[in-house]
Order: sequence, then structure tokens, then C-alpha cells
Amino acid sequence: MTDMRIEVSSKGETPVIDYKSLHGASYNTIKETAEKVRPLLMPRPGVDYKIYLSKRPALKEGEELITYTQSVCPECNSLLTAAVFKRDGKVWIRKVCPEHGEFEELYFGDAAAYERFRTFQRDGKGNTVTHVPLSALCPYNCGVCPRHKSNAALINIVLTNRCDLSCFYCFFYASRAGYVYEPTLEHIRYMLRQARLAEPIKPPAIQLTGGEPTLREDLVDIIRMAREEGFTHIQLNTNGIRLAFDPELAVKVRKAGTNVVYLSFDGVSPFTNPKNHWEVPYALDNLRKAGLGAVLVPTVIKSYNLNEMGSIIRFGLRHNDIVRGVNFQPVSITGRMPRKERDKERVTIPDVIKTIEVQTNGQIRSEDWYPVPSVVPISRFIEALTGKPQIAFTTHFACGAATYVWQEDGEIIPITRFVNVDEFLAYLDEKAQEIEKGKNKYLVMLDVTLKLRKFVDLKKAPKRLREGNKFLRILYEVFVKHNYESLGEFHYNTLFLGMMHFQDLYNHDVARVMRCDIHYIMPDGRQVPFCSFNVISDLYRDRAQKAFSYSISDWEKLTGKSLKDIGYKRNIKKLISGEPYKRHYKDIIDIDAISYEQHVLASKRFGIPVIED
Amino acid sequence: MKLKLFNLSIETQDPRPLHISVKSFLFLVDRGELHPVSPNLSREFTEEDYLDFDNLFPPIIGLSLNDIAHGNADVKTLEFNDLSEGMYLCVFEVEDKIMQRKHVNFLAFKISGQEISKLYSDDMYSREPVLKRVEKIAEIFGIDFRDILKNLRTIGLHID
Repeated sequence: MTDMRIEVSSKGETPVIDYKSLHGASYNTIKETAEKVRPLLMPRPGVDYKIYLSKRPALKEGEELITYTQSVCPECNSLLTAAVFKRDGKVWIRKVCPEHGEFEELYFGDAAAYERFRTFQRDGKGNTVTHVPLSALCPYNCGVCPRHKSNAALINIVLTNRCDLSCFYCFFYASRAGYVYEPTLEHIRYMLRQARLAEPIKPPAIQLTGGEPTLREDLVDIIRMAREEGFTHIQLNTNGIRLAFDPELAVKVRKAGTNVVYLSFDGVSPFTNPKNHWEVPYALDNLRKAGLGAVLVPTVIKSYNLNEMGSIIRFGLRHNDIVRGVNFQPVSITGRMPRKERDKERVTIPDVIKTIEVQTNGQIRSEDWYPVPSVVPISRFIEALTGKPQIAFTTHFACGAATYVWQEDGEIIPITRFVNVDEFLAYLDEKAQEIEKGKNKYLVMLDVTLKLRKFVDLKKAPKRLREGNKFLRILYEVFVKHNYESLGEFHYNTLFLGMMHFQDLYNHDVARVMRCDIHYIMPDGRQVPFCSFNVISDLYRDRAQKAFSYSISDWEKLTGKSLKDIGYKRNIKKLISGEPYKRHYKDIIDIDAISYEQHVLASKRFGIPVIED
Repeated sequence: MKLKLFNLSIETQDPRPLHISVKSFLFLVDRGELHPVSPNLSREFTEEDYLDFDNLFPPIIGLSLNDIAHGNADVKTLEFNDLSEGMYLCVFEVEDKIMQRKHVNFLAFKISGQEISKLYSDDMYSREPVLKRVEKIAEIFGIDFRDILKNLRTIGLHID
């Protein structure tokens, strides 16, 4: 061991490590330290939370019970019994904390959609190798524990909490948090290995996130390391500021192994997207030059940008040569907020889907969307055929939804216009079951080969998928020959539309947490579901990251840099006068109708200063 | 040494339809043979059992406390209070009433002093036919697999 110090305050609080002593430490030292500290960082019963499960919340007149579940108290994190119920055509969740009273929240904005989505629910088989022993009730035992029902499909890793922006709603970035969380390269290697510890299915994909991960000078080394450690799909989650001004960065991260950039994009106008409205066109151009695709990630807030869902999709389709998808994220309320304020922001998956239907003039309809676990029959079929356990997207049906769309002659064509998705998925399920029950797999494959075309109406498919029966060929390659490279052909000029509703303290449901397949790997080696990491953030994210952090002064001494110097200052005049800006937003917004002063105000209100030279 | 097992019947619709019953049995391996062990107490499931339940059932059967909360469930706790040192076999008879399918899962463990160590456990990925698994367990116990089959017959489980 190095001269590493683990300090535990006299109040018996959580440990704090002198992280500068781990700077340059070997892999083994980091591993030993993480394993030593891990038990001390676990949520503590009676201190961090209490259990109040004996009382079920009462239903009121006009309410119809769907189910009971468990949830946390937004005030004290204690475990409560919650009721999920219908009222006025919507689904709600209610819980009562003996100490803090009743909390009621919108859970799903359309009860009929809830029931349709629920028919697709499938449960996973969990992990046979997990990271922590089972010692507490869910969700206080995350790590992952043996109770978890899904395999992780995507791992998130926070590379730094430094950020070049200072968005008014964020409490996470270094100067506001009061410490710098930035694990060393060897520490990252340890985390990557911990992330791949799960058996029998190792997560194939990783998202590098922050803070702003592009602030790390060793980002390229980290991407290469993720490849070395077995990740086959690497996503870079960024605000795109650096990518906008550094064309070489896009090339470097692509060459190192990045597959796709997740680009924050909350709207098409400066008023709905003051974070990076001006920089996105330049970032997209640089990604285009580097041949690196992007997924736009709008956080959807009812009173803020719900009016721009259709425009965001049109923007994505317009730049579909480089924009691979749009992943809408209905807002997850940060911290504690009164009901009135929450109601102004709260929007759920069916609300966004309905809005998209309206704003695309019915071109993308509600029934075009499918919940995440709807694709389980595909992995079940492949697993039955190959005999190898496959990643199955067995998240809770209320967590996410998706569809695929194409644009042709100005018309949007969702996949459901030419594929009978329901029948196709049911057919794959049936075939998987036949193989599982012992039917000869070659006979099943023959049946699949003969029947594939039954589910596709090629006349209604986009031209590029019609030509030479391309779409049927792709299906044949994937489902009969298991050649997944042909999926690349499918995705070319296809716009994936996704929706992922991360939870918050108000709509939190343990049933969703234990089915989560997007996990964070933490510096102590635990792998924590997204909605434990970010929702019960004081017990997971903040506690673990703070324990493995530098003080700001230590970090500044160590690097010779100042945290203040990384703050981005925006030159709006230069950005809006550039050709990429005009080209990207032409016919999407009325560029000339927005005055320079309005641009400046939008940026400044958000917290990003404006310069003129 | 104390141990808890559970008998249960659960029916839920949300988040997915589930109608399952589980019966649990315990056997002691003694002088090369299995001997059934009866619980000292069978009682209602209470808050003190939650963690024991989650420790036992999720990896083997895929059910957890949250599933219990979701539906109409009847759970009985079987308390075994004075288990002596030795090797034990838990047998779980699972009936899925929706799939109209019955299957058997096993957990074998050893008590030594105050320690329990796992010798064998089925998991959600176990695909081997039950006879193969019984043979594997018999080998771990150093007993004739036919003795396990004989004992399974005494609890109504006929495996050919």
C-alpha cells in the first residue's frame, strides 16, 4: 500500500480519502483501497434511512388501484409502501411517510398506454456473479446485488465532475460541489474491470460522462482503455462545446474507438436550448468530418421545451447523415421541489409521445412507439438458437420507449408503417419457445426464412430499404445467419427515436430500480442502477465520489490549472454569423427573427457569459 | 444454527402477470442418506423475514420482496431453529400456474460452527435436466443420487 489515508470523522460519518495520495498509485493499491472503503460507503440503516413498510396508502374516491410497490420518502430516503393507481385516465403514485406526510405524483400520463406497454413486460434472469452481498432491502443494497433482475446493457462512468458550463440547475459540477472528482487512469481501469465483472452476461456498452468528459486531456487514452477492457460500444456524452471548436478532437475520439456521441440538445431555439444552441451546428460539422455519429439528447420539461418536440425530430431528420437518433428524456426532478412547481415541469413518456403525434401532424403516432422490453423476444430467440445467454432489455416498461423513422419526400415513415411489429415479435417469441422445448433449430430456422416476408410490406418501406429487397435481406442476415454487421446497413440514414424517463424522488418505484439495465460504475467498484445513483444521490453518487475526490486546492496544485479558467465564454456574434449555424437551422427556426440581444439574454440567463471578441 | 425457508403463493398483474406457488423442503445428509427436517415453526411472514426472503429467493427463483408487495401473496415462514453441523439440501418445488409448468430448484449448503457455506445452487440460468442436477448434488454430498430421488418422491416429486 502507498501512504494512503482513510479519514473517518469523529461523528462516525462516511470516510474521506486523501485522494492526492492515490495519484500515481498502482492498480492493486486502488483496488485494495476501494475494497476497504466500499463497506463504509454503503447506506446505513437507521442513519441514512428507515423502513416504514407496514402501512399502505389509502385510495380515494374515483381512484382504481393498479398495484402496490415500494418507494423512498423524498425528504428522508426512508422506504415506504406506495400505491400505483388510475385516476382521470392517468396513472399516479402515492406514498405516506410517517415523518413527512403524503406525496403524490404523476407516474404515467396515459392509463391506456400504461396497459398497452405493460403487455410487453418481460423479466430478466439477473446476474450469477454480483458485486455486493445482500445485506439490506432494495434500494439500499445497490452494487449490484443478487436481487437485481436485469443485466446491465450500458455502463455509465463519470470521468470528472469538472464542467466548462455552470448551468443554473446543476449542483454536480466541481466548483459548486466544492471538490474535484476525477479518477486516475489506473482507477478508471479498476472501475472498467468492476463493470465487466457481472456474469453470465457482461455489459457490452459504456457511456463516458461527467461533468464534461472532453475536459480530460487523457480522454483518448480512456477510450482506448475501455476498448482494451472489452467494451465494444463506446458512447461519449458531451455538451459539444469542445467538439465545436476542435475538429481534431472528433477525429481523435473516433479513432480511439468511440462509436457515437451523445449530444445534449434541449431544443432548436436559443430560448429552449441556451446550453449549446450556438455550438451544436459546429459540433455536428466536426463530427461529420470525422465520420462520427451523434444522438441528440433533449431533456423534456413541460413548461420549457415540450413545444419543440416536433422541431427537434425535424432537425434530426434534416441532419440524418450524422444524427443517428434523438433520445428524449422526460425531466427527472432534481432535489426537493414543492408539488406546484413540480406540476409545471412534470411530463411523462406518453405525454411526450402524444405531443410528438400532434407536432408531426400525425406522422409519428402514439402506437408507433414500443416500450423497451418489447424487444426481449429478439434476444430470447437468438439465445435459444445459439445457446448463449444474450443481453435482454428487461427494464420496466414505464422506463423507456422507442421507434425508428425515415424521411422520404418530406414524409416521415415510422417502422410500423411497413413492419407488423406486434406479430413479428410474437412470432419470434413462439419460435424461441419451440426451440427451448426441444424442437430442431434447423427446422425452426427454415420456418423463419420462409415466413420473414409475411411481416413486412415492402411497398410501404422507404425506397432505400425497398431496393433489392434490402430490408428482407437484413432481416435474413440477422435472424437466420446471425450476421449483425448488416444492422449497420439498417441504421444508415435511419433515425432512432428513443425515450428514457429516469426517475426522481417523487415518482421513484423500486420495481423499476430492480429492473434497470443502465448502471453507473462507482469509484469503490460498486455498479449502481441509474436511478439509485442519481435519485438517492446523497447515499450513492455524492457519497462515493466525494470520498474519492481531491480538494479544489489540491487539484489546482497538482495540475497547475485553475478551476475558474475552464469556464466557457460564448462569442454569440461570431457563432450566429457563421455558415454552419445558418445552414443547420435554416427552415427549422426563423433565424432573422431573433435579435442579437435576445441571443445574449438567453445565454446569460442560463449562466453562460457572453464575450464579443 | 437458525434457518428460514418460505412457502408461498403469489398472483400479480403488474408489472407482469405472475401466478406462482413455491413449496420449500429441507433435508439433512446423514450417514450417506438424506433425512427430511421439519420446521420448528410455521408462521405468518413479517417484516423481520424480509431480508431472509430476499437472500434466499431472488437468485434461485427470481422472486423478491417487491414482487410480494405487488400482488396477492400468501407467504408462510418456516423456521428451523437448531440445525446441527452437517450438509443440507433445500428443495424448492415451483409451480408456474400461467405457464402450467412445474420445476424443482436446489440449494445445497454446509453448516460448520457458526458458518454456512454454499455447496451448490441453481440459478435463473440453470438449464440442465433435473436428473443431471441431482447427480451433481449427490456427487457433492458423496451419496447415491437414487437416495435423493427416493426422498423427492416422499414429498411428491417424481423424477425419472
